[in-house]
Amino acid sequence: MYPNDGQAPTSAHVHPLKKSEPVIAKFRILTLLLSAALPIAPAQTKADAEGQYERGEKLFSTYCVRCHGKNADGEGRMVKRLYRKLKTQLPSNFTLGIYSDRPAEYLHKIITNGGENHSMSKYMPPFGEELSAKNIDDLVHFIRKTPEKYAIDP
Amino acid sequence: MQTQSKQKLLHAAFIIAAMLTTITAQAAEIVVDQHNKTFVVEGNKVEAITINAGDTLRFRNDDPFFHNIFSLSDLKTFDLGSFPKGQSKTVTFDKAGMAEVECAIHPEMYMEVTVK
Repeated sequence: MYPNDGQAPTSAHVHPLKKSEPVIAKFRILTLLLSAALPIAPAQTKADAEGQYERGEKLFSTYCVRCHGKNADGEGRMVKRLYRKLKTQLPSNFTLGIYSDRPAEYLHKIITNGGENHSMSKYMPPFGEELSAKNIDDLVHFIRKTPEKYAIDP
Repeated sequence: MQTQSKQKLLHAAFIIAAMLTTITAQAAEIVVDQHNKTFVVEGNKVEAITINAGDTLRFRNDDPFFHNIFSLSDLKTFDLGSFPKGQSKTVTFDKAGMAEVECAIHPEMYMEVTVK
C-alpha cells in the first residue's frame, strides 16, 4: 500500500531524503551553533539561595504575616481575631512542609491569582498586580524552605 | 377600658416608628474611593474619617488593580475580601469607637474611622 491513493511512488517519492539531506545538515549545524552561543543557566549558588531566602522572608513579613503568622505556622492575627470565628478555611501552615515538594509554579499561581481562583480560601488575595514575578519567585522559595528554619524539633 | 388600652398601644407604636424613622434618616452612606493606593473622600486623600453610629462606608475600587478591605479593630472586625476596579464593598458601623481599616494587598493603605 502506498500513501498516495494506492499509486506507485513517483521518483519524487522514492528519494525524498536525498533532496532534503542538505537542508537537514544545515539545520543541524545551525542548531549546534545556536546552542553553543546561548548561555547555559548556572546552578544557584548557596549565596544566591540565601539571598533569595532573605528577600522572600522580607516580602513574607510585609504581605503574608497577617494571615500566615510570623513563624509561618498559619497563626496570624487574622486567624486569631476573625477567621476562626467565621469558621472559614484557615491559612496554610508552611512549617509542615506540605508545599516543599510541590512544584514552584503551583505556589506561584496561588500567590498571583489568589486563593479563590484555586479552590482555596476566598480571603487569600491575588498579589499578581502588586508583586513582580521575581518577588513571587522569592516568596515561593522562602515558603518551600520554611520547614528547614521554623519546623519544631521533635 | 379596652379602647383606652388600644389607644395607648397605638400611641407607643407610633412613637417607636417615629424613632426608627429618625434613626434611619440620620444614617448616611459615605463613599470612600480607593485611588492610587490611598483612601479618597469627595476628592480628598484621607487618613482619618469621622462618622456617626449607624453610618455605612462604601469602599469603591477606583484603581486598575485589585484592592481589599479589612479591619481587626475591637470596634469592628471584618474582611470584605478582594475586589477589582469598579466594584465596591460596604460595612456599617453600629457602635461608637475607633477602627483601623486596611488593605491586605497594599500594606501602605491605612485609615482610621472614628464613630461618634
